[in-house]
Amino acid sequence: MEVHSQVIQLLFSGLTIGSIYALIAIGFVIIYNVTGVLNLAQGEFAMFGALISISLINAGLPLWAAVIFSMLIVSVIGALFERTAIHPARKSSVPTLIIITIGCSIAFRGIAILIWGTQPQSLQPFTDNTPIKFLNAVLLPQSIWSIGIAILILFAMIYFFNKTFVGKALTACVVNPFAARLMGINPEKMSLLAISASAGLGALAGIVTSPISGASYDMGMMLGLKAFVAAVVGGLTNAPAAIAGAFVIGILESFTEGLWSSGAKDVVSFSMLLLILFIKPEGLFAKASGKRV
Amino acid sequence: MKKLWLLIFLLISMLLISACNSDSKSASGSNESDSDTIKIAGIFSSSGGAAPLGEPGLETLKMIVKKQNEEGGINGKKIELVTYDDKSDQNEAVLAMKKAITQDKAVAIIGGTISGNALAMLPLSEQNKVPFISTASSRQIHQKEDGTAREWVFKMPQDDSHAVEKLLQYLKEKGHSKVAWLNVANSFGTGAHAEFKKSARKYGIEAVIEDEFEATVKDAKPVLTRVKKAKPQALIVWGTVQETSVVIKNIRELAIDLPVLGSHGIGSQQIFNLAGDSANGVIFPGGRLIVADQLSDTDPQKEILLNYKEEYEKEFKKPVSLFGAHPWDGFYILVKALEEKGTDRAAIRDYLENNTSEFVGLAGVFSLSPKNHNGLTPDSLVMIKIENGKWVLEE
Repeated sequence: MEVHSQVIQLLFSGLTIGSIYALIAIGFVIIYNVTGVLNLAQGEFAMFGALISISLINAGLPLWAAVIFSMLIVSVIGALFERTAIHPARKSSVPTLIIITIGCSIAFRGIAILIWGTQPQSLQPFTDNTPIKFLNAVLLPQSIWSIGIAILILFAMIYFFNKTFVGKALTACVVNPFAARLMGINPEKMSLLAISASAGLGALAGIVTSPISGASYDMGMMLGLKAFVAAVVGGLTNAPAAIAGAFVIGILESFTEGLWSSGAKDVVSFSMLLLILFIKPEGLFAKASGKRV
Repeated sequence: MKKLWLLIFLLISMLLISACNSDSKSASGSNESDSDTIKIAGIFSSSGGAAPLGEPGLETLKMIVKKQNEEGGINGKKIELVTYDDKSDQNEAVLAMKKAITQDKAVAIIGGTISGNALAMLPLSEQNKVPFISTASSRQIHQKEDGTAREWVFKMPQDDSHAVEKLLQYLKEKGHSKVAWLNVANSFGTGAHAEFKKSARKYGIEAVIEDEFEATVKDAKPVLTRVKKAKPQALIVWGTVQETSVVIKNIRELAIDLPVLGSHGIGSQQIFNLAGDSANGVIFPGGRLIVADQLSDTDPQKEILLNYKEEYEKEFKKPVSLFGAHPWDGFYILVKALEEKGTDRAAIRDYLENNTSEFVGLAGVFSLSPKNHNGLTPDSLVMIKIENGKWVLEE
């Protein structure tokens, strides 16, 4: 394989992985901005999304219906999670809340083992998965789905936060919860909304991933961790920045693996995280000051 | 700055949590005592993460003990089987071992589904001088660091080195001298990699590229682009079902037109679901059990393999698995010793070690010796090819 086609191949792989991280990273950002909590159970929403959609398809539902129902079910799980775990402890300190989310992520994995067992499962690609040749590199239709959905969500986010009433209301809760309350916005309702929406997005990420790498009860941990790194590298306070961060991490990993060694992949991405935290803790793409979201 | 440290702390704690999560379910065990019986203990991971491996083992052992008792037991004495579930947890495994030895006073112990558990259990067997027949695969279970055999421990499954050697033999026969080696980055993969490096030269085989992929691999195409550039004649992907499926799919997607070889860890029905058509043509060293019906009639194992398959599938209404075969081998090797030597533990140990030769079992033909408490050779494995959702014996 010649060098230029290898580079293109690595770019495709990086974009695919980056788009998966991006979908989960958005969830981190939304929840973090609205509630101030880093939800470390975010990867588990992806796991639920993947496994539920596989079960629905096995039960005979068409793909589109399985995707929608799975996202809805996971949103409800997210809402339950907010009401039963986050809401009662909302007056606690942030580290307490974060520890609660870690506890929930372990509980979610346990529930998944009870329902689906430990065996990995797989999902058929969304459309015919014949690789597309491009300058001697190949791109899979499933990767296009994944990248496309991430980009679509990116624009949807920008539109939602800047142009819609609910989006503005969410932003208002972040900028100044007290003033928002005076304006008739209920921050607690917004927290519920943010967490269930993030859960639905996380579910979508899991569904898109499972034709690529399979789905199992423990898939959420590593996905969540990498998406977290991506969100911090890009900027935890800004959804588009987090998405950009996710693509940077994906491409960085892919090039490290393709040109150097697979073992060095995690070393590079976690070193990148530390470097960003020391040099530019607000993230690569976030504005240094100003409001969140 | 405070936030920064919090983030780092969180990251470290997440990694720690991911490194040590285990699960547990309820225990099972039975206690009876009767001097007219021979007591054997079975310790398996019938719940928890290793349950898919432990369950067939426990079921098989129960089935064959019942059968042996119906046929008159051993020299007129019935066998009493005490079973424990170690919940895929090392501490539980050690506790079960202690109970089996001190309370049940079992004559011998069969079990230890996964290597970690078996390794944790074996010091108790050595200290208390109780024969322990392990059904987990690590070579360290029956061999000490210096390569000599552990006194009281025997091991039924093949060593990983047997699978690697079988693979190398096959590559040599086919004339592939330049190969690419990829292994999953855990003890299963790195252990095999060490064996590969040790033995490859003996077979005149050279790795033009060696690398790893993680067990949670999503896209192995980046590393495969390097494999393609190295121009090997064959590609070895050493992992278990899930990660191997991903890598195989990526190989097909990149249209790398080379023979693909897998490990003995992919011989499970799941590969058909997870890898689909991509799995076609993949060749791996595996036990004879899954291709029993295709063996030649002169194969000494054919008859017992088919019998076991029929009995197990009739009793439990599910496909047979090699993990059930190891307790079968352990039990029947032990039965011979019990028939000859009664219930004296030291005599049983000596008999197992010196008088088990050419024993035809499910995993292979065992010839134990004081130096080798496993007794299998690479020939206990055959090369199996995946073709359209079927296992095909590769000559």
